[in-house]
Amino acid sequence: MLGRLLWKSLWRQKSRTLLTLLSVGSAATLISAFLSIAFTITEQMARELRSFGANMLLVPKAEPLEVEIGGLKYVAPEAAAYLEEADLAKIKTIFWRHNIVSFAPFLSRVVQVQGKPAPLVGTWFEREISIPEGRRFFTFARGSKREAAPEQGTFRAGVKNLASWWQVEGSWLREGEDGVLLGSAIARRLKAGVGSLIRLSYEGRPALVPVKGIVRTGGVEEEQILADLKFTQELFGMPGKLDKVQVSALVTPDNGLAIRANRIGPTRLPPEEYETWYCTPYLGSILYQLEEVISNSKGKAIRQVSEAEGAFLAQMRFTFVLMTAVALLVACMAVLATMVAAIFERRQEIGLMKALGAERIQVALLFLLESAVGGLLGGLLGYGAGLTLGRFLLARSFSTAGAGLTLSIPWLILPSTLFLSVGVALLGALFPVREATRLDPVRTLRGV
Amino acid sequence: MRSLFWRIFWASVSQRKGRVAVSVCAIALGTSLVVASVNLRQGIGGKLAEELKHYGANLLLLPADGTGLFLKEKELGSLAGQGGEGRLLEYAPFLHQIVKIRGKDAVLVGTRFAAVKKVSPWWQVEGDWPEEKDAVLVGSNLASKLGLRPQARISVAYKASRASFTVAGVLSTGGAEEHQIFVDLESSQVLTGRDGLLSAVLVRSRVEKGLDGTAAFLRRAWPGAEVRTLWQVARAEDALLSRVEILLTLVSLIILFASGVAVFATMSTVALERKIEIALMRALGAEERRVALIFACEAFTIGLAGGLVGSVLGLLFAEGIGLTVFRSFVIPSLISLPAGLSVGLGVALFSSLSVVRKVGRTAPAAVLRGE
Repeated sequence: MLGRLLWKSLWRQKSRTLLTLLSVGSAATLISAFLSIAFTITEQMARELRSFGANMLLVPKAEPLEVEIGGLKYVAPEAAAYLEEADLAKIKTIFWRHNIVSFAPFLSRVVQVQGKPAPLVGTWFEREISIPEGRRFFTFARGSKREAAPEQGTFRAGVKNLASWWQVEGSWLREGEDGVLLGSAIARRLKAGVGSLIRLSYEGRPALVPVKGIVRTGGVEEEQILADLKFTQELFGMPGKLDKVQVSALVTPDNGLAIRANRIGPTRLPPEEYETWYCTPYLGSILYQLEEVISNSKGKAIRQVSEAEGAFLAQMRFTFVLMTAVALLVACMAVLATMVAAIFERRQEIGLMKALGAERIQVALLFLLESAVGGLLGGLLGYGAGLTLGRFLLARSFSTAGAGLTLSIPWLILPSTLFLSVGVALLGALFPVREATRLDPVRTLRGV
Repeated sequence: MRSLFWRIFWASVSQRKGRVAVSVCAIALGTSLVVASVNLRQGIGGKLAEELKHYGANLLLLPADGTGLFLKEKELGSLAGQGGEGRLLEYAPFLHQIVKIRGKDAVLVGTRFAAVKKVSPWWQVEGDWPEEKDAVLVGSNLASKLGLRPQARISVAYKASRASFTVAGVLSTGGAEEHQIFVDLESSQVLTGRDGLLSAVLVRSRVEKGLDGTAAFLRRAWPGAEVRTLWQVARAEDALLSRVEILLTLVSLIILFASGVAVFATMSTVALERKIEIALMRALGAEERRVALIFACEAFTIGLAGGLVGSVLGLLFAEGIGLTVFRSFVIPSLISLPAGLSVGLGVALFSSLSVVRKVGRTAPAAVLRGE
């Protein structure tokens, strides 16, 4: 009986049912689209930002004191300390290897160019490195075993991915290619352009190299001569050696645990906390893991990049959470209004049912059920629409969406959307149903 | 005839207070969302741009080629007079020199600490920031090499002159600053005998003024300086801002659409129940145009009232978000009011007239019989 009544009243009044669905559906669309954006926006932004400079730096543990002005760096030979180039491939074997977006090694010394000192910096411009095969497991003190995220076979490292803001006139250097890129300031001073030859010398060892391109960055690179790492290692007589490695990695903002780990040192954390810390991509834990694989190294956060990013992203997320809250509130109110209006007009129907002997409870149940069905259907429709919309929005706003890491759509969105739409639809029905069932049937029927 | 029209109009608004209230409410809510999102779309770009100051300087001033090795400090002071205040948010002067400390070479940097704090907000100081003229910040690597801790006394020598300082704090940045020692600008000028000279100035410009314009302004105002754009910061900012703008625009559009639909649903539901009323008017001989006019007038009143209430509400939402997130007011956008009102009015008119049209297409008798 109840089912038949329900079906009839939903089906016979198609336009009214449709309007309810429309209202609930559009509200649910708003809610789920906003929730999905609020959950993923920080991740998206962070990924986008990772091409604007490394956020980590690895230097030798006994880092020599640099005496540097205007890019000219002098290191006393006896104080020099190095990292090993052979260790670099291990960067993609750490627990959080998946979060390493890019890295580049550097080796620099002051050379003489046309009789004047200038810094010569060796690096990788673009280099494919192969990642060691197989799955990787990490075992912790309590005996638990965790697997690092799987990785594809090759990885592209080098400054080209790390420093997307470099403007190169001419061409980038290919792997192992002879030649140099000149910073625009030093190029102007040397009166050199693309294609000209320059003469370098380091401790009496000369080299004649062609200029392949001019780099404009606004930073210290403007004063530098950039060459392939191998070339500088040979010129300086330091085969396989590095000064430092810049790493760009996706990190999560620090929380209480990360701050504690930074303060007392991760090894002093209790084992279970250490495991949690190790298996969360904090800036500190990734640095720690890098130090583990690169022998004799010390990891540092490049605070300019990491702090600015953290501050901005936190602000961004906060804005979206608040916007979501407002949208949520308003969408709920709009549904409420529709439900109130829809039941208001059916007072006569309610009066008739009561006059025919229906209990108040029965009448109320029918109407509430009707609203719940409307809320559920509208919520489902809206969830699908909202999720598609949220994905579309992120894809339009960010170049990186869909590529690389898959967007993790939190499973929480479906239940919360449904809960809200059904709850609000019921709430919207409750008030007018109570009013209407309380009224004297005769008066409602007379239309007073 | 006129008076009948107004009587019907007045009676239908005043005798159906509950329903009119629901309609006004629905429209107000829809409008408020639209107004809030338009205001935020306009206001947040600027606010987030201000947040980008965490990235530090985006311009670097160096001595131009062929003008000597130094900039003149008094020309920096005169920038403000030439309209620089509107364009420059902060600037910090620097004077670099290699000096001897405890027998080792080190880079001594003279600067103004109050300005550096703002230009480079990521500097982390263990100990205190220097306040006296003879207090210094020592980069963490230099400090560990020389075995310096806060409160230590050091003596700095440059050629024949010497000066002694107290270490106020140890600095970590993750950059070249960790190898340097920072003192007050005047102290370094006195020590190195370079009165009124600078070797570099870091500038944080106001993003909303356009970086290229500010760079051009600096080139004009200070011919002796070479102006370099720090592309890392500038590009990152561009990327962030354009993403945020696109996202907010799309979000506003969605809000516009979804709230329009929700309001439409409510208004249509309210109007649907008046099918009988409409049919009755038509049965009594009213033309469809006349009925439509009455309904349009009603919808207009409700739409206007809802739109106005909603605009105020939306502005409050926007200011609320602005205050919580950015601790400052969002400047109200001028187009938000017309946008909000037109959504309110448009949806109200459209939904009530579409019902009139629908009823007009069926015979009044059928509607009255309840078919």
